[in-house]
Amino acid sequence: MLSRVADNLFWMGRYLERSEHLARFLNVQYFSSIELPYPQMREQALLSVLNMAGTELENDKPTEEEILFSVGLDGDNPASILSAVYSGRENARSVRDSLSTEVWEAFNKYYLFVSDYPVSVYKTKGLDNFTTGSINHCAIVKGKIHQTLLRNETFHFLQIGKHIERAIQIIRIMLSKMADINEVNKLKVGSTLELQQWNIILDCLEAKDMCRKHYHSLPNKHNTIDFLLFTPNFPFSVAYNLGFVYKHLQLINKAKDEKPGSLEFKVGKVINDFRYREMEDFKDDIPSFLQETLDKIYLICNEIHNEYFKY
Amino acid sequence: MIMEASVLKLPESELFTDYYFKENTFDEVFKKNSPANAYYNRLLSLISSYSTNEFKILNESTKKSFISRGVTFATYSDNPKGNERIFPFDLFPRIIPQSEWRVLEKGLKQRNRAINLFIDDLYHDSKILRDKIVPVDLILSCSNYNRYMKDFKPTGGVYNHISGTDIIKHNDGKYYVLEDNVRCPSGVSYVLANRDAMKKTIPSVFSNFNISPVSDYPEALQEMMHSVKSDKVDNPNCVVLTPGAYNSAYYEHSFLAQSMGIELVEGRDMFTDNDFVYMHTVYGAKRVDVIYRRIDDDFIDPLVFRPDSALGVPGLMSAYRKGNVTILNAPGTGIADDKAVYAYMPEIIKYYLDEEPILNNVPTYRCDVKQEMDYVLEHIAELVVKPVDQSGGYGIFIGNQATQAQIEEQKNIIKAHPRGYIAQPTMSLSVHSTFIEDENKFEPRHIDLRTYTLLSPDKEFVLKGGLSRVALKKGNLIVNSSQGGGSKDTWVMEE
Repeated sequence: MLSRVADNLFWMGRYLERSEHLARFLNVQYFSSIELPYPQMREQALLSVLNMAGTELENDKPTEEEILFSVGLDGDNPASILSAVYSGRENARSVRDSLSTEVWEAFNKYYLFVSDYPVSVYKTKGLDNFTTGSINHCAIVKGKIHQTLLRNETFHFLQIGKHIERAIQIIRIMLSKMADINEVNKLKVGSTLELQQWNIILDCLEAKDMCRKHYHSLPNKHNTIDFLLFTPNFPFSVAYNLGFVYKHLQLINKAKDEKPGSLEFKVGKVINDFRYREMEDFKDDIPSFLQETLDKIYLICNEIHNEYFKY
Repeated sequence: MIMEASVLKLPESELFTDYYFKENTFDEVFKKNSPANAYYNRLLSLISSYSTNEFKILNESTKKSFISRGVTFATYSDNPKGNERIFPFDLFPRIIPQSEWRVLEKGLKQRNRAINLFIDDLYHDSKILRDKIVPVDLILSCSNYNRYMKDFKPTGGVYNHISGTDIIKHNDGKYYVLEDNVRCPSGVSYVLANRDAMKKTIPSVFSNFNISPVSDYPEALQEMMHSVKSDKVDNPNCVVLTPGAYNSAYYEHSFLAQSMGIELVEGRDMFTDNDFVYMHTVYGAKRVDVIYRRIDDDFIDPLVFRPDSALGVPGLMSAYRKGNVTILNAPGTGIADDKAVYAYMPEIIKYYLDEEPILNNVPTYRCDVKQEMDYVLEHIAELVVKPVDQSGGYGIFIGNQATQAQIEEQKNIIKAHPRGYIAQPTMSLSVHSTFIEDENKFEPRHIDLRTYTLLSPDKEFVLKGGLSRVALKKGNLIVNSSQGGGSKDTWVMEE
């Protein structure tokens, strides 16, 4: 496989995953904020969407419509859903001969759905339709990837991109929501609303039902964080995704030996180190731990780039 | 001149309301004062069974399917992210009866085989020049002569592996070759995409008609690529070289690579070392043996041709001349599709093959020959003037559509650079019923036929049918997609 193609596949996987998280986060944040009793909290919920996406608006006090447009359909904002889908599709287009026709067409239809979505409808009444539509298109693309691709480098690089991005998005969503919770606590309005915020994190990651099942109890701060970071068999946990990054890297590496200093060795080290951490170790400063983990994931990306994508 | 519709026997359908006969033009479907061409009968009755509304819906859904499959080309002039457009597709297929096709196919093989021998001769002994069949100065003055090809024989002795010969039907009912394209002829992906679209839109026709398939093209192309590999390799690494995803023909490049299951590469994916070509893969360098390049000669190797080219591979020509990689089409083939050289094609065929040319050539006047230029200047209003080295329909001057001022301007252009132009009588491209969206009915529009011939060292293959291109604008004679043309599915059919 060409290095350039591997690079494009990696980013195709990343953008696809990113678009889904943006759409889901936007949907959950917006609709959960509607029933919040305090206007400050509603504002905070929307600002949190901007924050999670990594968008800064020139306007200090953006209106709801401005925020929704910026995160959703603003093609000039590189962090919008439209931009993520566009970039993912451009990456797919530049390697469409490596993909199956089914994967390409599914991605192209996803792009057409997003790019043709009427902005005025989206801003006023189409938010749920647009975001759930995007999430469904994502599911179709992923289904076609699983169903129609050979398990070769094409698939592995796509999966590495997907899992890396998902690990990143899980952490970004947690960081963003923890900032919200901080604001909630400042209002001193009681623990019910805080608990509600932890539930929202789980909703943002389609994790609430499985979290309840896993702990046989209702979600709280401790088990939410533990679940999303360390559950080895839940697809939206950081540990699960880093594990798959490692697995696919091993499948790509034909040599199979893991010499010290090799890519697999370095990634294995990060992952094992992460896996054996406990909440106790960092419970006083969870955001710092999350940030630290995020930085390590970015380092992994650099290592993968140096090993495979240089041309 | 437009005649009364009553001279035509039209199907009883509102889709053919006011369909008219163009005087002095061959209509592929209808005949004046007699029934339509018999081989169109069943298709006509099928099409007339649709109401206007039904047909419109079919037309719209076909367009949508091209968009969702990404069978598009993009222009970036007014939008940095690209405006993606489809190549307009007409749902009324063009039929070429098997008996006519057999002659065309034979003629195409003959003509392109002769072109190959001609190119080989020009880069070696130039016998045809010494025998004064083709004038020496014509070749020496050709901007597409490639001095790096001198005395070099490509693997298998093939130069024009892929030829896109353009054919028209004149008002005498005969086919003529209008142009030879032996550099990087494009459009073949649309032949296959059109057939696909046709099958999905009107599936019933394919079970009732005996139509030659076009799906064998990728296989034939791959077989041809293997046939010109170096003897030193058993299992060649064949690639398609594209300028990249922002090229307007990118869909075709990726289609070709995908349909053959081979790698689509860009110049930056490759490098040369010790006169071998390699590509950067995730496992290191991998040798490349056969390159189907979709980049012009000028850009393939910045060390030899344009130094500012970022699309090519430095050192490619050197590796090529060592026989370590095959490039198709060979560099320097443009010498044979020069439009002034075209004038000599009948002589070229006779000279190399000792056969009478099967396909007709359009009489051509060379402006660099004194008497011929005088004739051209005098009769310019009845002639078509073409630049000798352009493609895509650019720079063409049509005398009978020009104003006096334009005529004077064109005369000066010719006089300033006689070798740059040829002139031909205005050929009347045949017309074919074509669905016109603004009118919601069929109207006659001019068409031509881009054919695809593949040459291997000991085999020729012609894609059955080809791309019928339609000039969608009323009265327009230029069918190129870059100038607003569309296309039709083309059926080679048993009568």
